[in-house]
Amino acid sequence: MIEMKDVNVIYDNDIIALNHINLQLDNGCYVIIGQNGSGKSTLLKTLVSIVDFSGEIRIDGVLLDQQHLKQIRQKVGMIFQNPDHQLFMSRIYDDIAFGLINQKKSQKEIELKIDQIVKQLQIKDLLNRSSHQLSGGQKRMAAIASVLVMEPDILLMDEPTSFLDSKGRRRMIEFIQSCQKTMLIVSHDLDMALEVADQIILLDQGEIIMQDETEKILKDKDLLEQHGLELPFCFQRG
Amino acid sequence: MNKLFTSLMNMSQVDEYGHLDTFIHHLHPLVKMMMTTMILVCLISTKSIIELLIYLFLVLFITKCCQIPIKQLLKRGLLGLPLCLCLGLSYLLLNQNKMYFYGFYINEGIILCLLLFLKTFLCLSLAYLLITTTSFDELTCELVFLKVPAIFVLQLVMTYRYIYLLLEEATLMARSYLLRSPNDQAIQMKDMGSFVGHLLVGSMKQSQDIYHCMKCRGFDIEITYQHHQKINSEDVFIMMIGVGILMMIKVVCI
Repeated sequence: MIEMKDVNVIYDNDIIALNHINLQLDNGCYVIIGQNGSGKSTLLKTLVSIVDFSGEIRIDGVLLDQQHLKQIRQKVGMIFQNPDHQLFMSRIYDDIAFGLINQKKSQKEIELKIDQIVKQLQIKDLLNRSSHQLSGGQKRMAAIASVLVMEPDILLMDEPTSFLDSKGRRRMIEFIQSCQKTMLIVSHDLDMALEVADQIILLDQGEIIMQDETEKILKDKDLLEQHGLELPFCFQRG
Repeated sequence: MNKLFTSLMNMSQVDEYGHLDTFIHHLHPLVKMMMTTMILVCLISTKSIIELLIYLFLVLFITKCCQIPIKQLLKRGLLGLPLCLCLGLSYLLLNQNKMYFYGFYINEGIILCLLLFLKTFLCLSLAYLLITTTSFDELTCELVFLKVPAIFVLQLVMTYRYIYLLLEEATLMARSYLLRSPNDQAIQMKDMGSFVGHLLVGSMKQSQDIYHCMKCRGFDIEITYQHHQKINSEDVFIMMIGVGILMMIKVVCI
């Protein structure tokens, strides 16, 4: 469970990225939508304390502060928008093993877990390759594997369908649907949101405008247009 | 632009060499580090060209054993040539003393210049050999084991990651620049200031993002790089042989 109470984020140049955010999320898949600069990615980064914030955040009842940061980062896995940032070792195998080494797992356990995750995501052929040799979609899947292998309870995903072709996008949607974790996804892809989200959170200028059932928000043309968004493609066709 | 891309590819090639399957690659990283340091100390402290030529032969022999192309080694080893040339020329011009060299009287400046070339080439070649026979992570583990302060090791790790980012960013920016200026062969000097400025700011931001990604996955220099392997007796034996060879070279050349 994620709880945010009166969370504010102000960047150095006095830009208010998040403004008095109050949020309570139970198990399920939540998609955060909003136009560029509305604070979506900042909200995700706040949950792993990458940006400084004021207010109170609790993950499964544990207060997010310096003392509990390690504990929370073990519970929460974040998949960043750009997979290049997430793949920094010389081989994909080392990248996937990175988090497990930090969790002080034994070599045997590391190999077993990597074997399981690469089978699940069908990326066994990428293990000995360098990230420079991979396509955008392959990098994305490798980045997901590097986080999933740590078995986080909560998964945060920033634009998971960016860099993907239509086949890769479909694989990603199927993966999200099959994943039995609490997920908070930031996306501009409203058609994907329609398929995967239990609830939608609409954000604008750092404030939560609405949090409700997926179809209720995504069918509301006026609401979406008012906040710089369009109806999902499937609703546009009527 | 293509040069930048080639350097990027070459960088990942260095990583690939680190995973080759040869006898030297399987040696303990600490042994390789110590041997490299010992050879460096020996070659820096000598003034004998013959001794340096023996080291050169040794380096080329090790390169061959590691299955690393000699051409690549020469390329890296000669990187310091321009700087050497400036210093070497000053020796040639300023030092006119004559000295006895194996039956001939020759200008001391020439000998000093030659010594400088050989020493620089050998130092760079040895560093290249070390990183191509040992993966960066193994080296980092050994530095942590040797109790090098975490802050220095962290700097080294982040610099290593940063070089890739800088090259990647530079390649992208240079491509985008040249595509919009088809009449230019390279980036013009008048644009160089803002180009370099943007490059540094952009890659700094990216390196910060990478550091955040590492932190999110529990990165801690002393935990991540704690996998020091124990040195076995074979490694110690090989090191003793190495030390013996170095001592023999010293004795013969004195």
